[in-house]
Formats: sequence, C-alpha cells, structure tokens
Amino acid sequence: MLLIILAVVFVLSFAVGRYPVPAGDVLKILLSRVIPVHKAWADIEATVIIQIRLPRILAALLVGSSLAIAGASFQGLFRNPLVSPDILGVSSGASVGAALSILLNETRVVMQVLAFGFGIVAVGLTYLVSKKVRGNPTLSLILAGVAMGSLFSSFLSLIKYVADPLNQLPAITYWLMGSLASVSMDNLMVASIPMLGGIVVLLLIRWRLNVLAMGEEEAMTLGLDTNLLRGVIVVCCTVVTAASVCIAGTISWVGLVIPHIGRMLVGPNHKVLLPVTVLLGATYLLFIDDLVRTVYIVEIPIGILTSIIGAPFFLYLLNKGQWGWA
Amino acid sequence: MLSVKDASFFYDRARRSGFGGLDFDLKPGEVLCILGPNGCGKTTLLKCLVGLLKVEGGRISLNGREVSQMGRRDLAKVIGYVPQLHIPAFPFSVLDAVLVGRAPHLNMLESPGKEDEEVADTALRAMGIEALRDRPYTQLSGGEIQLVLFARVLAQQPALLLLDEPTSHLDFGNQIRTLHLIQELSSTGLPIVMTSHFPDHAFLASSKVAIMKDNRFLAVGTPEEVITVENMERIYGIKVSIVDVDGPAGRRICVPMRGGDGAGPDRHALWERLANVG
Repeated sequence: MLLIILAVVFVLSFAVGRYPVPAGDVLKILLSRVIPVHKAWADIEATVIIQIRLPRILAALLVGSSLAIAGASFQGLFRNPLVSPDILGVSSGASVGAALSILLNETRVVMQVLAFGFGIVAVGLTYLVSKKVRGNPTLSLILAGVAMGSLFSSFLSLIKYVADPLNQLPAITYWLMGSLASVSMDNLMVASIPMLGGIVVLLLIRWRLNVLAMGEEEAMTLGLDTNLLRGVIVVCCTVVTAASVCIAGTISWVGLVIPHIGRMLVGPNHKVLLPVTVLLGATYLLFIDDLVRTVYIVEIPIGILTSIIGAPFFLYLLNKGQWGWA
Repeated sequence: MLSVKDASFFYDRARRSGFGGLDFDLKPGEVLCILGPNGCGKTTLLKCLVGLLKVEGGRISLNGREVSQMGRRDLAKVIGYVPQLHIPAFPFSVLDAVLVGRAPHLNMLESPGKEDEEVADTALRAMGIEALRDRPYTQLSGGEIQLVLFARVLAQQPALLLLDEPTSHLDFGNQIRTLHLIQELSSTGLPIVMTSHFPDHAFLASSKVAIMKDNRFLAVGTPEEVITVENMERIYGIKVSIVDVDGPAGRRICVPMRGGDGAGPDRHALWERLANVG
C-alpha cells in the first residue's frame, strides 16, 4: 500500500514543475532507459526528466528515508519519542561546516565535504565527552549532545555575525533553510553511498532496537552488547544525517514526526516500523519537494514547508486518536 | 548448580556500599530468598550474579563455568533476570515484549522466526496470559505486566532464574500468586534466587533463606532456622512474632507486633503541634 503511494508520487513528481510533462510520457521516458520504447516525446522533455528532475527526486527520496530512519532509530535507542536525528549535534556541526565554507568563499564540493566532516566531528566529540561521564551512558550521550549542539550553534552565530551581510549572510541563511534545488547527479552519487550504507545497516539490526528499548540493563541481561549496538546505531544515524544535511541543508521535522506517524500506522515494533518509516519519509519529503517546486513561482525553502505542513498534520493526528506515547 | 565463594563487590573505596565475603550454593529446584534492609546489597548481589557487575573478589560459578569469564550472550542463555521495576518506553504488544527474551539465542542480524514465536507462545500459555498476546503491554495492570516479564524470562529458557523483589509493586493477591508461581517453577528443577522485603514470603515460597545486613550474610539456612525473632530484630530493628498456625493455612508465619518503637514524649509533642490537635 505504502509502496503504491510512493510509486504514484514518484511518477507524478516527474510530471509537475515549471515545465509540465504528461505522466504517460514520464513513464515512457523512464522505461526507455531500461527497455526500448517507441519515442513519442520531445527531446527537451527527456532532458528535463532525466537531467534535472531525476537527481532531485532521488535526492528527496534518499534524504527523506535517511532522516526518518535515523529519527526512528534514535527514538528507540534513547527510549524517547521527542528525539530527532540531530540530538547529538550532527546538524549543528554540519551547519558550521557549511557556513564556514561560505564565509571562506569555497566551492560547493568543499562545502559539502566540510558540512559532512563537521557533522561527524560534532557527534564524535559528543561521544568522547559522554564517555568521560559516569552513570547511565545513554543519558550522558543525550546531555553531551545537547551541550555540543548548543556549542556549535553559537559557532554558527559567530560565523553569521562576521559574514558579509550582502552576499554571505543570505547564502548561509538560505542554506540553513534547506533545499534540494542544486543537487546534481554527481554529488548525489557520492552522498548516496553513506546514506544507503547507513540505512541498510539500520534495517539489518532493526529488531535489536526492540531489545534495547527495554532499557540499558535489561538489554544487557538479555545478552546484548549494548555498547557495541549503541555505537553502531549512533554511527549509522550520524552518517546518514550528515550526508543528508550536506546535500540538502537542514531539514527539520521529518526525523521527528515521520517515526510517530509510522508508529500510529503499524505500532512500535521496530522490525516493521523501520521499513515503514523509510517509505513514509521518502514519500513525505518527495511530496513536500513537489510542493516546493510548484506552489509558487519562486521556490520556497523545503525546511520551511516540512514544518508548516508537518506540524499541523501531526497535531491533527495526535488529537484524532488516543496514542499516548505512540 | 550455582556456587558462590567469598564473593565481594563494593561501589566505593570505603567499602560501605556493596557486599563482601558471601558464600552459598544453590541446587536444582531450590529457591533462595535473600532478606535484608534497604541498601544492604541485595540488588548488587543479583547484578553480580547476572553479570551486570563483576565481582572484585571470590568467584561465582554456574554449572562449573565462572560467570565473570562468560560473554554477555552466553550468560543470557543460562541466566534469566527479572528486574525490580520495568519501565515501558513503547507500547509493544505482549508478544513482541516476550519475543525480546529470544535475543540471546539470535545473532546480531537475526530477528525472531517461527520457532522463536512458538517458544514465546508457549511461555505465554505457561503464564496463562495467551489471551493478552496482541494487547499493548503498557495497558496492562501491574500484575499482568509482571506475568509478561515472567513469560519473557521463560522464553529466554534459562538454567537459573534471578528475581529482584518480584512482589514489591503488586497487590496482596498478585503477591501471593507470584509466590505460588515461583514455587511451582522451582518444582520443575529450575533454581531461583529472589530478594524480598517480607520475611513471611520466605516461608511461603523458599527452601533456603539468607539474611543480609551491613554488606554480609548474617545467616544462611532453611527458613525455619534463619527466620527467628532474634534475627528479625537484628536486621530490621523491629519486634516480630513467629508462630505455627493451625487450620487450613497450617504453616509458620512471621508477623510484626503492634506498637511503635517509642519515639518519646518530646517527638509526640512535636507531632501534636504540627497536627494542630484541639
């Protein structure tokens, strides 16, 4: 069912935009890449579909899936439904990296490398600091993450403060609001390696999240190497989130709300929940990006729309049923 | 068989919090009930037995293998542990919560298959809660959650069962039902170590009692040998009466006496002032 919805949105996404292409032609153009199809479309249509829309649509799918599965995994790991993928500081770190490269007038490639690198460094620091804290390792990780996030946010403010207000500051601000507009096939290919890798590993170990959600000590008495498992989850979530941020900027709300909607649909069992959040996240971000491209002449930053649509929808769902923690 | 020799563990250098010099054995089918005041080291001992903490001195071995030498997964295959209080984070179905007990029998990338589900279903039937199978376990009563935790630990198929205050959060009926359950489980040959705050529960469910105070065992033996008026006053500082009752109950009981421990007239005056009597 979810797959069908995703497929429909996927095809329609190619059709909509400043240069509309009939959905039938979209299917034919896409199929023509795999099997021979009688050519009955203009070359420009094929160019739009393959060169421009395909990378952007694939990016929306990947980023949506990544943020959603990272959110669901972190919520299970931290036994807390208010956790989002940037809880350990990855987004703040990546933002500092991106803002720094704008400040230094670096190229887009450098910016993506810096964003990814700073995101990883921020979480690495969070992890090292939390190791020094005695007591509940999960709790110290969250606390260290909140502190690290706040530290990197202040670095970001500092960079914004010293940035040239005419060119650099708007560029930073615009980047922070998130966009899939400038994704090319090349940088998507590079970013998709960590994203797909992280998603696959998380899907492989997903049932263990049920055990971990019983609590640290109980999971240990049930035979889990909790330190190892926590490490694997943190690394995977960090890598997929950092890769998402470096090609799309900071997109809030997807990682927080999609896991909740998933739990409302299929319950909290991570074995089912994680694949469902992947599909939901992909569909949701693709749908939002379609709106971004079509609603107004100028593109609205995607980070704004994910919240404007997501938050009221989530509140509506909360009101509709008695879900408690689900 | 569980064998504990001169085991010790302390959280602090001053050796105030923890336990030391413990010796005991447990044979198949025996139930050891550990009694002692708050903070005497009961839970710490259970955590060492299940391998959450490693003993500093002495040794704990189960069926000839030393617990501190065993990996986490090997431990979980043979030792089942029911914590004092389970705090649910997500409303898992009862079946999913019980299936978690199969974790030690699965490797990192596996998830429970048909056989594991059969074991979980058997555990649910063994606890008489198969009707709750698909309910969210967060919506159950305290007594039912306890049964889910028991089903989970049975699905683990352990050779030793550790229960940390299994009756603490239950009403009177569920306390006694839990004790009966413990007794019946042990009659299948499963050795059980439990902690409790109720000496009378030791009469009801255990074959062996250890009383613990100031980080050591004061006495280990049968309930009749160990639960005496003197010992209860030594560990709890209150007066109890221990009598054999006739009638349908027909057993030895341990009951507290009426009356306070003498707060003195000064404190009574303070109470009256605070209560604004008259």
